[in-house]
Amino acid sequence: MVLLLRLASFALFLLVWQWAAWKPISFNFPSPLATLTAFAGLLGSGALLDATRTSLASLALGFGTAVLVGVPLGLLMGVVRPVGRVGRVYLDLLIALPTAALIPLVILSFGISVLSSAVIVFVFSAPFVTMNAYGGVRDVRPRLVEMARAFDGSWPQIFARIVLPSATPMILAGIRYGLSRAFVGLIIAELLLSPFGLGRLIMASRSMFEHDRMFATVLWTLVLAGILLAALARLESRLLRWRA
Amino acid sequence: MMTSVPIRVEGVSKTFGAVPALADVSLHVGAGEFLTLIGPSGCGKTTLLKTVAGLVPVDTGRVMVGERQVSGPGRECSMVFQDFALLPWATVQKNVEFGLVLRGVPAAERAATARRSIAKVGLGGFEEAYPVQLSGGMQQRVGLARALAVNPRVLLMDEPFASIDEQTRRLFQDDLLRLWSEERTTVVFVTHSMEEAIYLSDRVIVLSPRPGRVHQVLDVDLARPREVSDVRASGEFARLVDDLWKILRKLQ
Repeated sequence: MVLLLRLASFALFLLVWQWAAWKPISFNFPSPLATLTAFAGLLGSGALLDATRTSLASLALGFGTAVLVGVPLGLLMGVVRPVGRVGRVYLDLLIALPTAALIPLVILSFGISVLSSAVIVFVFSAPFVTMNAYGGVRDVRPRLVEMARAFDGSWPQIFARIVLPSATPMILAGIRYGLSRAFVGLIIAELLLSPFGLGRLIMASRSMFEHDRMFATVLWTLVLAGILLAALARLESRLLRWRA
Repeated sequence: MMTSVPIRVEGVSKTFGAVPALADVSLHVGAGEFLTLIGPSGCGKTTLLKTVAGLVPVDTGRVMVGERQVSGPGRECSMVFQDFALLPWATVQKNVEFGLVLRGVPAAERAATARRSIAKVGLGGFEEAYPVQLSGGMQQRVGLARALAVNPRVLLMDEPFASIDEQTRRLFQDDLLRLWSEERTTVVFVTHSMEEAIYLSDRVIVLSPRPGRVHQVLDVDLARPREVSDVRASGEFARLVDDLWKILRKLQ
């Protein structure tokens, strides 16, 4: 049933798209078929895979660091209350900040490189990963801690066996949301600064008026994000089977 | 089979901020005795239970569990909570193993111990279920199995049946009495229910509120085992419940 609905909604989307291209709403708006052809061409020339590899490297570096730093930092903030109270001010600021405004600063500091895209990916995603880990610890049921204490559990035991598993659902949700933010950051970074990756492919196609190629790249980016997010969602539901 | 230990509470006072919770409470629980604490809200019965558990430090006085002066949680006591306090992410088996895990019991031994404990409370076959799949009564059976798995000398029960429906509660009360007569642990039981207090206990201690003090002690000399005879239908049972009600009514 769900599968049917999904297929139907996708077919509807293609229909509307075809109609929009045929109407046309703009003379250089590509049809689905033209986009698919361009996609095949990009795939054949290797340009798309090269760009994807470069982009995923920035993503992995930036987002990986965000998770490796954000989760422990959020846990620390949750467990050591004073650290949490100080830290959350910065997190709130980082989350409220229009992060794109930081890009010139990042270019100045790191130059135009894969590293600077990774830094921007990090800045986009890390605050959410951290905030959720922090929230996860704060949501631990005090009664479970009391129960473990009543069994004479040590603080390291309570952390490992009560706090961490209690916080896991929120940590995973933070990682998933962080990943979608990381994609946003990645494309913004590549559009605005770095001469490589999927963002550059989008910019290059646009400046050459190759809108079918541009469309193909944008859609490919969406598919990529969709695949990674779905993989995370699967992992999440496997780890959280007990909630069913 | 284990040896149970007595509990002595000697002149214990406790204040939370500006709120006095317990004032000069002294009482003695015999080894293997079933003692119930009852009283109006705010009489500090849960606080008193937690001082015995070592979860709440006392301001003055002292609590002795057996030969040990309580200064923190110890290994003689197990606690059962009103809201069950089960780990939602763990199966029944893993929940019951929890206390044993914290005490470093090897995996094979604790699996076997937990299975025995689960069978004792009548949950055999539910080892791989998650708490969310169980009724409230069954969840509390898991809580009791977890408490018994560590082979406690003292069982501390904080309104364990308060959020369980009446029919389930009566069956559970009988099972508790049966288990208690087999294990011979000392039990300190907190409840709001007068019938429950009389039905289960050797003695009922009535606490008065704000701050909690020992108001009166009621001996329950109903014959045991009560779970096999129709104790609730007896005139003696009705009289004791009525006595308890008269004491409590004056405290409201």
